[in-house]
Parts: sequence; C-alpha cells; structure tokens
Amino acid sequence: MNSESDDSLDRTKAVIRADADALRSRATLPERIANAGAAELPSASRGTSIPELAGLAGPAFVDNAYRAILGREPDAAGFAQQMAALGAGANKIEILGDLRYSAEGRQRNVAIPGLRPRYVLAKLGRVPVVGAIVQWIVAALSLPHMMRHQRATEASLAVNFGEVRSALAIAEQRFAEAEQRDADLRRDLAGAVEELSERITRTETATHEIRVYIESVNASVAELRQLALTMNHWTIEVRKSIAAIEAAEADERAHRDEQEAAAVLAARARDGGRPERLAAWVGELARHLPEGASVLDLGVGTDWLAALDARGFVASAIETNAALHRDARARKLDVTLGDPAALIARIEDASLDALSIDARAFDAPLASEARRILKRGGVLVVVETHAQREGIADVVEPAGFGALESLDAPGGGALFAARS
Amino acid sequence: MKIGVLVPVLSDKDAVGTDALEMAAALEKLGHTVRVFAQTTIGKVGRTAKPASLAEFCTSPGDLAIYHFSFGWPHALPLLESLKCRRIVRYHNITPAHFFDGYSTEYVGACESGRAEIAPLAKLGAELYLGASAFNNEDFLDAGVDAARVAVLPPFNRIDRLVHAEADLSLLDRFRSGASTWLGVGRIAPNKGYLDLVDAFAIYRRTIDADARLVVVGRADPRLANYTGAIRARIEQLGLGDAIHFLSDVNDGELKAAYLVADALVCLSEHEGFCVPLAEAMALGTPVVACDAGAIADTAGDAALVWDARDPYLVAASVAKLREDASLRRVLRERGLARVAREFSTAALERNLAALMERFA
Repeated sequence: MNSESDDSLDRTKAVIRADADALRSRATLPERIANAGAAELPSASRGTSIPELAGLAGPAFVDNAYRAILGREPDAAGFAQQMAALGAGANKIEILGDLRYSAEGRQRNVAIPGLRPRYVLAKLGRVPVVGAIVQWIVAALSLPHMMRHQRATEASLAVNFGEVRSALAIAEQRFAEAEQRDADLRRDLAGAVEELSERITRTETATHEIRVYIESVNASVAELRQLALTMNHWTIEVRKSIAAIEAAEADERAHRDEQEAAAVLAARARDGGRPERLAAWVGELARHLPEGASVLDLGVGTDWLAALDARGFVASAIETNAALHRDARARKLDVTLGDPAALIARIEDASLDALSIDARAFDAPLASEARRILKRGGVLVVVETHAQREGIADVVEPAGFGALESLDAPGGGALFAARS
Repeated sequence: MKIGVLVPVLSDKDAVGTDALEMAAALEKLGHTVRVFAQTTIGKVGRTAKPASLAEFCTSPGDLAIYHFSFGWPHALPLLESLKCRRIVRYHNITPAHFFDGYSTEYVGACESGRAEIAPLAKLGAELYLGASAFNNEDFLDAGVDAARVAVLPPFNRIDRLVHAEADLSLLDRFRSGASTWLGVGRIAPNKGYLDLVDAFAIYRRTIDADARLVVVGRADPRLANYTGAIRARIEQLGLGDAIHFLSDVNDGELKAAYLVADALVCLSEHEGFCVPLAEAMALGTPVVACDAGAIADTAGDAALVWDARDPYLVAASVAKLREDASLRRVLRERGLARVAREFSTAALERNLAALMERFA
C-alpha cells in the first residue's frame, strides 16, 4: 500500500469526521430503556423453503428432505425408492410432496410455503393428455417467476462482475507495477552495463599503461644489460691493462733487481777487506753465542750468511731483491723473498739468538721489533758505515738494548748490542 | 509426527471447530498423522476420539498435542499435564465476563471460569502458545509466558468456500433495491455491540436514508434472552421494526448473498479475538466500517474504515461516505482482497502453519 493512498484515506476520514459532526445536530436518539426484559428477536427464523430443499442434488437432496420434512434419516427402502424416482426423471417437487403429504409428513406438518399447489400440478402433469395441457399451462404461468429468477441471476452476475472488475483492476495495477519494476530493472541494468563498460574501458586503459610501462622497463633492462656487457668488456680491458702494467712493473723490478744485485755483487767483489771483516764479525758473534744459535739476517748479504753457516750458526735471511734471492738459493742458503716488516711480524717473541741488519734498513720500529723477537741476551748486529753510527745509537739503546760495542775495520764496521 | 488435536466441543459450524478441522487437514497435508479428540461433536465433523485416549495416541516426546482453548474446561489442564509429548495451546480468546453482567449469570460464570484457566495454562510450559491474533497473545504474555513461545496464526476459515459458493437468489432478490443496506454478522451476544449498531443505524435512517435496512446474520441464544429483549426494545423505541432483518442458521449461499447486497459490513463489536466476518467481507469485496476493539484493528489492517472512538454518528457518516464515493469503495475492496490473499486465505494459512511447524521438526 503506498503512502499516497494512505494520505488519501486519511483525508477521507477527515471528511467523514466533519460529516459526523454535521449529523450530530440533525438527529439525537432517546436514552435506552433499562431492564427491557427477556424477548425474542423479530423474524429470527425463516422456516424451510422449497429453494432450500431443492437446492441439493441426488443423495444429498433425499437425505436433506427426509431430515427437514420427517425429522429423521431416510430408511434404506425409502432412500432407494426416492433415488429410483429421481433416476426415472421424477420432479423434486413430487418427491418433496410425497414426503410432506405422506402419513408421517402430515403428522409432523412442517410448513413449506408454496409446495401444495406445485405438488398438485406436478401430479396432474402425470395424467395422460390432461397432463400435457397442464404442463403447458404451468410453463406459461411460470414465466413471471422465471423472469424474476432471471433478474436475480442478472443481479448476482452484476455483483460477480463487480468482483471480477475489482480483480481485474488489481491485476492491471499489479501489471503496471510489474511494468514499472521491469522499467526500473532495465534502467538499473542499463546503468550497471554502462558502469561496467566504463570500468572495462578504465581497466583496458590501465592495462595498456601497464603494458607500455613494462615495455619501457624491458627497454631499460636491455639498455642496462648492454651497459653491463660494455662495462664487462671495459673491466676486462682494464684488467688486461693493469696486468700489462703489473707485468711491466715486474719486469722493471726484476731488471732493477738484476742491476742492483749485479752492482751489489760487483761491489762486494771489489771490496777486498770484506771477507776479513765478515770473519771478524762472525768471531765476535761466536764470542757471545754458542754454536747452533739461530741468526736472522736482513740485507747484510749472502757471503755473511755463508760465513755464519760455516761457523755453525743456524742462519737464515729475508731478501727483498729477487736476483739476490735466486743467487742465495743457488748457494743452498736459507733465504726467504719478501717484505721484511711483514715476515718479521709473523716471528714469535724471544725466538732468535741474533739478528743482523744492514744499517740502511734500520730504524726505530725495526729496533722495537728486534727486541721483541730476540731472546734475552740475544745479539743485535748492525752493519754500517761510520757516518751512520750516531743515528743508530740514538735508536738502539732506547729500544731496550745494552750499550753498543763496535767492531771497526776499514770500509765499514759493525755494532753489537745485547738485548737487555 | 503424530499430532493430536484436542477440542472439547467440536462443531462444523462455529469458528473454533472450523479452525480445528481445517488445521488438522492442513497438518495431514504436511505429512503428519493427525487425530481429532473431542468430548462432544455437533454436525458433520468426521471421525473423532474421546479426549481420555489422547495420551495413548501421543506417546512419544516427539509427538504433538494441540489444545484449542476457547472456554473453560477443567479436564484440559490435568490431561495436558499428563502428556509426554510437546504441546501447543491454540488460543481463540474468551470474552471477559463483564460483558454479560445483567444479561446472563450462566455466561458470566462460564467466562470467568474460562479466563481463570489462562494463568494455569500459562504455567503449563507448553512449547507454543498460538493465538489467533496478537491481541489474544496479550493474555498469555500478561500471565508470564515467554515471548519466544508465543506466535500468531489467524484462524483457518471457510472464506474460500464462501467465495466459491453460489449466492442465494431469493435473498438477493429480497434485499436488492436502491435503499442502503447495512450488514451485521455474528452471534447475538452483548460483546458484539448490537445496541450500538442499532443506534448508528437509526441515526443513518433519520439523517441519510429513511429507506435504509439493516440485515443481521447471527443466531440468537435463548440464554441471552435479556440481551435480545434489550435489542428488541431499542428497535421498537426507535421505530425500526420494519427496517431490521434478523437471519439465523444461514447457509453459505445466503451468507454470501447478504455480503453481496450490503453497502457495508458494520462491526461495532467490543471484544473480538479475531473477527472472521471482517475477513469474509474483505474476501467478497464488501467495505467494512468498524470501531477498534480487541483484534479488530489487527484483522482489518488498512482495508477498512476503523475508528478509535465508538461514535454512532461517525459510523453513520462512514456508511454514507461509502455509498457516495466509488473510489473509496474501490480502494478498500482492493486492499481487502489483497489482504485476504496475503494473510487469511487457506493457501496463506497453510504456508504460515508449515513455517510454524518447522519449530517442531
């Protein structure tokens, strides 16, 4: 029910209220009578009528007729007889009359308005010849009744037609509502389709943008890959260049080592006093150390190492010049090629009896490392020229060695100091 | 499921009997095994058993007993208490005794004893209290029944048969004329408000249509002779003897004819547990004018002119308006037909009963 029709009903009720107020002034009723007493209502009962009895058919008609007229159920024989009469085409009026005017019916005397004349006519209709005439007369006389019946039927049909019309109006309204709903649904559907199309278009656009982006990313990746390959080539070239430089540097260093070694060996060969000096220094060392003492040499030379070996010391050396290293190895001497600082760092504390060092490589840090690796009482030998002596003394004693003793000779000397 | 339907007095003519028998048929259609138990039967009600054998029929806790409660019957409570099965109290309402004060001490006693059984039945703890209207359920809710155990199912009725019955031609003939025709339907009892109806009709005759007639379809009860006497005295006092026609024991065709010739069903009842005539009028397209009381407003819904005030002038003006306003008649007719189809037709009631029975599946 829509609100519009409810509003309409409310307006109608307001009109009715106003009408009622108007009626109030036009009619007043007297007070009701108190304690009126008992009484029956007027016309409370209508009795039995022919239409009521004849409205039924077959067994129901017979059963009802017996109950209404004789006040009892039909006995089996009576029921069969009346059903046979109906089956033989007997008029219901005849059957009603037979019951009503039977001895039992007369005794009960149930009032059935209009039955007697119709019953007599029905019976007359059974008389040959006269019966046919009577039936014609009855038919003619029945015309007004039939017309009234027809009018009543028309009235009933009119009422039923009103019902049908109402039902049709409802059906039309429902159809209109259904059409409206259909239109609403179609509109909603169209809207939904439109929205869906819009979303599909947006999705397609987004997909296209994503595809373009992916392509650009792929292009960037390809470019990066190309760049990486280029860099790889470049790196290889750089590595080749570095390797070439390193090879050149190695060649140069080897060459320099060769020259330097040649110069050193030549100088030693020219230095006629060197073997004597070396013998004196070994003798001095032997004065401090027992045979078999361990001696490490840093740059004094292979001839010095050989002299130590010859005197019974366990001598080894660290050499920075590859040519000299090869020369020493050829002479079966224990010489390691490498950086003296790095190799000394790996020697454990207080593990050597003596350490010989060329004064050109000696400095304060090395003096400190010498003290670490020499045993207590171990000997530090610094081979020098006279010009270097004072600088050496400034470093050795503060590093933890005892007083320097010098063993001088022409062409150079050696300083000896014991680890305190 | 086995279902026992318990009705103390079962008649094929009254509303309670119709509800019980039609509901039993509907339950059988749902596949249940149904047996009707009645102490007394009137008319063609089919095969029944005595209430004492109900406990032998409903033996399992899964079975169901439906007690149609419409008047005091002291055997009901102990019988229901003795059952092992689940129970439904189908409540048709009991007229408050005060309506019969001054008319019948017998009725006063019967109504008082009936209403006195509401409280113990509420304490029975039945699985469902099934009122014919929300108004009916208020009695059990007031007596402390949990709202979850209360439901509404309008009464099964004869509306479908009435709609398809052939209207009685002689009655149509008798009352079909240009004069206004009011219709009142219901037994002649004080709670039905017939004195108010006569007053409203008198006002209408004096102010709107001097030829108007009132047709009352309802059986008079000899035990209420004081009430019928009061009505008769009022009719004579107002000079309406020739204008008011009482019909009793009508068949379906005559009842349908009465609805069809009427301009309006006028219902001024002061207490109704449902009011079947309202639904019948709606089903036959007869406009309804009523004053709200009991379940009347619930049953009529928006398909009738229902007034809160009991004002005879308002009632008279309502019928006058219905006579002159075809669109108002059409609106009410359409609403009424739709309401019957939706709420009170056999199909609708069977559907709602099936939904209720799911509680007991």
